[in-house]
Amino acid sequence: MDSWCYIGLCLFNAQERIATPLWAFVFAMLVWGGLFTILEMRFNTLKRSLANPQFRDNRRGYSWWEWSIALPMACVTFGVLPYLSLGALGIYDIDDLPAGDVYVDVEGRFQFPVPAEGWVRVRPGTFAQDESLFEMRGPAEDVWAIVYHYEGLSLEELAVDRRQTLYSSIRRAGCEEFRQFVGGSLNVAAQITCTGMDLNMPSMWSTGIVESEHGLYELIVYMTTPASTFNRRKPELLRMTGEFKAL
Amino acid sequence: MRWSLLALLMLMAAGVAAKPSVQWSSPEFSGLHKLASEFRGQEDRPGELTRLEFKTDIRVDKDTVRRRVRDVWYYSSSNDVQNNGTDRIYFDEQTDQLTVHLAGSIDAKGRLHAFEADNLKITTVDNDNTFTDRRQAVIALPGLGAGSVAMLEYEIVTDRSRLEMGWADIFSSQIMAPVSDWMLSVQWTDGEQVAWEGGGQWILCEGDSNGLLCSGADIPAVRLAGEYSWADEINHLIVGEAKSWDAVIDRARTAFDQALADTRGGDELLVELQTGRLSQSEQIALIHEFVARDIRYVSMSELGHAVTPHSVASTLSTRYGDCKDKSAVLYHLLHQIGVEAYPVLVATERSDSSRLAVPSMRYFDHMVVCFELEGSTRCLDATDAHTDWLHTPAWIQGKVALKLEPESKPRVIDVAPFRWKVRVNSEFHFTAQGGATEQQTRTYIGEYAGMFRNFLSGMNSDSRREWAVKNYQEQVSDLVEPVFEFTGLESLTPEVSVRSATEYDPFLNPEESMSYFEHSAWLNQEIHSLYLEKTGRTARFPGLQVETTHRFDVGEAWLLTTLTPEFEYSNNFGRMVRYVQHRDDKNLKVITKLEIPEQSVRQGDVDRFNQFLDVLVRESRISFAGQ
Repeated sequence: MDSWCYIGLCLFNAQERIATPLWAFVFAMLVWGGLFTILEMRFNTLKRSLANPQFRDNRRGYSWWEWSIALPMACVTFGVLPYLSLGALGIYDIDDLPAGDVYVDVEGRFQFPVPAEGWVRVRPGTFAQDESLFEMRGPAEDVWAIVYHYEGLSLEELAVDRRQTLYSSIRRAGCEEFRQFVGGSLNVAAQITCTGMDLNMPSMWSTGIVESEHGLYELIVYMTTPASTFNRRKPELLRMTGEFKAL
Repeated sequence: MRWSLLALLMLMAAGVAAKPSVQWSSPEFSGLHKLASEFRGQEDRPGELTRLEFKTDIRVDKDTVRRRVRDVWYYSSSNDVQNNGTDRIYFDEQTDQLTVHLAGSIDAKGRLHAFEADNLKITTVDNDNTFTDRRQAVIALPGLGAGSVAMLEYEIVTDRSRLEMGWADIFSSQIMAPVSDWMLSVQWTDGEQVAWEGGGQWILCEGDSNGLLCSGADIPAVRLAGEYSWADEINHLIVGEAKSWDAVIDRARTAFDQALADTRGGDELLVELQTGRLSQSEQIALIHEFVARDIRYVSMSELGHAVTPHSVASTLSTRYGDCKDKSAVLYHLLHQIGVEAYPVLVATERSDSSRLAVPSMRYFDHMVVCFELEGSTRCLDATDAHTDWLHTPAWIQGKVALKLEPESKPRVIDVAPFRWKVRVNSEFHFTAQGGATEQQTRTYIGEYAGMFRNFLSGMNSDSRREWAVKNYQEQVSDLVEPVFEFTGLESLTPEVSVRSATEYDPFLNPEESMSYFEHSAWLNQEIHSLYLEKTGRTARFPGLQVETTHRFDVGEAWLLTTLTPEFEYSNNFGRMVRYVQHRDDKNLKVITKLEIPEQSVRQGDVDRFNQFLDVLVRESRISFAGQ
């Protein structure tokens, strides 16, 4: 049992350095829960072997105030957490995006490179609060991307809004912005990237905004993930927003 | 005696000279009556100002060139009369004899209005940068109204013995009004060598060994929009003595060299200028500045000096002269310090050397001095008192020039890749109260410095300050009235700077987050002044290079949060790039570099070019935030 405890500790320690899949976290939690149950049983066996052991409220197991905590937490554990994890468990997945390809929107509105394996197209609304054209789940936890379309909004207005929003959404943020023409046209493409910390983990927002004859298109990418994964994935995500194009 | 002298001076001051070269013959109006009568009988009379007839007969013999001209106009409206009711005959007082045979009009009711000889005015023409001493006979045609027909008939006889460079006439059949009937006949005697070239699509020419006949009919008016060079855009016919370019160069150079026969005062001047211990570049700068600024420009193309400069000694003594006089002095002084300079003729109205088909001096109206230095050709304009010697004055760049050295051919003077070069430095410090102090320095370089020096040195200090304040308030902000300082106006340095300092009252609340933006005012001003026009012809962009450096210090009240974007906008028209340096949470440095080289832009690309400028203006704004 000691070795199981050691494995569990290693797993939680690793999760602070590299991103791990959700199933590994769930598995670790189940193992830890099982081990604590066994430990609790052993303590009870030891207790029973004592002379005149004292079991409080033997018939109901817990006192009233313990039940008042245990019941809601059980609901959260067995109800809400699985619901929140549906997206990560692939419930909303539509299809995988082949690594190394340039993804071209089926309606021919935009394109971006898919720099690594693990990007999965998901149903709109999975990550976005407002109306999106396209959403993707990334190759690691808390990595995702959304494509938006705007009409009647200038690039400058959207860029100013993004600079302020992204800067304030992470701690110790530092933001950079670079603009250039899109190909041989006079349309402008802007890439804004803010990096900082979120819940003690490196975090990044990067957005690529491009002008087109049909308004603005934006690919916004988010990543909050352990440092090792963050450093490895950052160039990939920047390439996605840097090479995002309206067609 | 004194009164008569005073009267003569007053007459000359008014620009009205006596009329020794003009004669009148008894007019015979029957031709005009007949023509007007026939014209009134026509039902389809033109609806606009129309040249009904332009007929020129030229007779060339050993001693003279006689030109008899008949010019008939129809005025369809009073507006035509207002704008074109005065005719002018141009002639050279030193070499030509003008005889007016007929000047008059017949109005719509058939009444004759003859021009009275006493009403003739002879005035000087703007002879800056010409190799002739031209006059104009001004004939304000009497009795003109809507429906009038006017006729002018005259003869100009040129004494060939008084010409320094031979004769040549240039004609344009197409003008700003439609021409119904155009004819030119030239006849010359045996032994005369006459060459002709050009004419364009509207006339047909036939020539043989003794004559030339050109004619055209129903020639439409020229419709040109925007800035253009008449000599480059319109087809011309040139007729003149047949010569090679070498012959033209030889005669012009011989004339130029005559000025070098007497160079007294040159050596003393170099001693006076203390050029001895200077480097060659410093010597050139000093000599150029002396000739450009201390010898004033006076048009001096009197008899014998249309092409031949006055002697160097004479010009140094009088301290005035025209382009060729000043060029001769410059040439001499440069040679004295070891610079192998050479004189160059310039046709300031022409940019297309292929149109100089018949070798002639007639195309040229200016002279500069050039030399080779460190692998490049430097051309110094001794009449430009504002541009430093390292930069060719803007107004002769791209113009056709002829080096007065054997075997030279007309070629275009090199055009600088960036005619307008500006550097802007700005320091903006926010105060703890929410205001700001600002120091700016705008530096204009090369040709632009020359233009600014010319513009600003013509003002007194009060006018200069008023202009600078007005300009600042139009371009940057009308909330303040900065203090200005100007440098580089006094001598011909490559740069002219305008420095300003000002303080803005609080406009931000230091208790709140800041969100600041500003347009790059001076950068935008430069871009705005260079939008291209759609004229139907290829447009020329003169080249613009701007570098701005803005330093911001947000002071004690704020820390910088989000910064202005970096960018690189680059395409086949040009490039604008911005770097942002962020040393700490208080200081921001924004460097913007714009380079749009000199180029031709096809009409089909003008809209796209202007849209490119639109994007640059829009994207040049600087914005950042603090908390």
